Amino acid sequence: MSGYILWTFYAFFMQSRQTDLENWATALSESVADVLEEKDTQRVQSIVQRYGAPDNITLRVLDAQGSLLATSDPQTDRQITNWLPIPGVLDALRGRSVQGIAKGVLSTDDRLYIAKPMTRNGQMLGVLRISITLEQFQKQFVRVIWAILAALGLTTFVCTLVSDRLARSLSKPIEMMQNFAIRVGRGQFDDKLVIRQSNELDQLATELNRMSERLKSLDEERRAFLANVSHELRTPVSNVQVTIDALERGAVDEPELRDRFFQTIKEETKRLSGLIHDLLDLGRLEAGVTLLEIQAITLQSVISRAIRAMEVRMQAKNVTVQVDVDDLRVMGDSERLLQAFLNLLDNAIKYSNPNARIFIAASCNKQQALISIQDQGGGIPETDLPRIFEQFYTTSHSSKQSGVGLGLAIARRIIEAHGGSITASSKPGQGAIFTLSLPLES
Amino acid sequence: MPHVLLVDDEAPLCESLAYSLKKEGYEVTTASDGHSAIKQFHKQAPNVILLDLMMPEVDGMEVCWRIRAFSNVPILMLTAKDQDVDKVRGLEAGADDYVTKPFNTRELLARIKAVLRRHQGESA
Repeated sequence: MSGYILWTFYAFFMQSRQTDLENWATALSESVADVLEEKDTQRVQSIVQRYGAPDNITLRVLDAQGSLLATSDPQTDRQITNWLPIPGVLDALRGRSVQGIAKGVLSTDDRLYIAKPMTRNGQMLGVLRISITLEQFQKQFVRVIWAILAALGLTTFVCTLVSDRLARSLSKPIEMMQNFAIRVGRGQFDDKLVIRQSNELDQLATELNRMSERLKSLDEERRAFLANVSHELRTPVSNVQVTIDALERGAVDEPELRDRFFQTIKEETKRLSGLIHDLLDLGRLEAGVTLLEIQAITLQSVISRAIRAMEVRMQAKNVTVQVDVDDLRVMGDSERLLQAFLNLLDNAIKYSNPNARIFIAASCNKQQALISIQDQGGGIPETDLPRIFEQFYTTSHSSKQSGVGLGLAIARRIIEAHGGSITASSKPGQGAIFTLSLPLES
Repeated sequence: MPHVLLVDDEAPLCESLAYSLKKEGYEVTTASDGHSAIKQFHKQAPNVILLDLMMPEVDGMEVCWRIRAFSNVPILMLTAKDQDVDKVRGLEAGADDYVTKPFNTRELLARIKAVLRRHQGESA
């Protein structure tokens, strides 16, 4: 590119010099021809001297035979005897104007020359040869080349520096992210990725941080789950063991105590197997290996089955249920949905005060059945609301109640596996409402 | 006759364990939550406390702190929490021993004897 620019520049300069030279030559040749016509050699000499410059421009006038008439550089030209081999002279004598580049007459510098024949009325009067040195221009030109090369070098250097910086600014955060990802992979979720750049990398870092936080909370959930499972399994086993120990230490001989202790063992074993059952259910639902036998079922039949199963418990607490369910058919697995309704109903009964009522209503809304289960219990504190569907989560005032906090978690998984949703709302003191949606038969 | 205060919200455990303790010759008072545990402690002045950690409202750890504020009665923690952190926290809260559920009654009785012996040695 720069080579082309230089070449163009050079060509333009040469072109303009040659044009200048030609103009001068034309003008001068006219004046010299005038004087030659009068055969005034003295005037010729003075014109030549006037326009020639020792270092720069050399003017020569030769007669028609090719011998020197006048020169602006007599010192040099005295040494020349034959002018015909000098570039352009022979051509000019033959009547052709010639210009070009040649070495100086007795020097080695490049010169631009023009040789012009002078004729009057068809008669050859002589030849005017002007030459100008290109030495200064060439020196200047070399300087320009160096300047351009230096600029080129500097630009390359600066570009390298800038691109290196740029690459570094890209590769450093990527390296940081890589290390961060490795740490997260090892299970270290505590540190945060800080990248102070406002571009896609910054957003990526934000997303990585979010991912790490999510993994951290999942990890914490898993730990809490294990600790809870451990606690919930140990408690009934411990109760059974201590009771068996008591029987062995003599309680077996006291009929009343013996019966009660055996009853305890039975209940604790039931509690344990129920817990194991729930855990396995939850595990299967979470892993997505529970196969749902989806078919169109009537909502009323599932709900009345659930109510019948809970009748004894409701009678014991003197709780009644009011049902207002439209004749709707939903898509679902009836056994699984029954399980979900049993859990929700169990929860409602658990928190109902004696002599209270539970309301179950269902209606359709667009493509979904909306079912609500409302109790008249103490309600769910606002702080507990977002967490009641978590495993093992029981509100503080529910700890005295039975249950380990898996029922609602299981109900949610079942409803979600059906493509539905479940939410809870409550105002303290006014009971809780669980609202679930299920896909209608299309 | 050493007096044992048994604090656990699991009623079946309280009843069975109380039976075995009485059979072994201890006097037993039971409490099912933190509040009544502290009340019973003041009323009965037991020689040793068996304290469950996971209880509603006032948990075992807090009962331990509160009692340690004015008494160095031997405290054995009974809990279904089995992680080392829990054990360390229990002992730091002032417990003399830590028994993980499920436990063997014979082992628990041996541990009760041991803490009582140590305690008597210290107070003598």
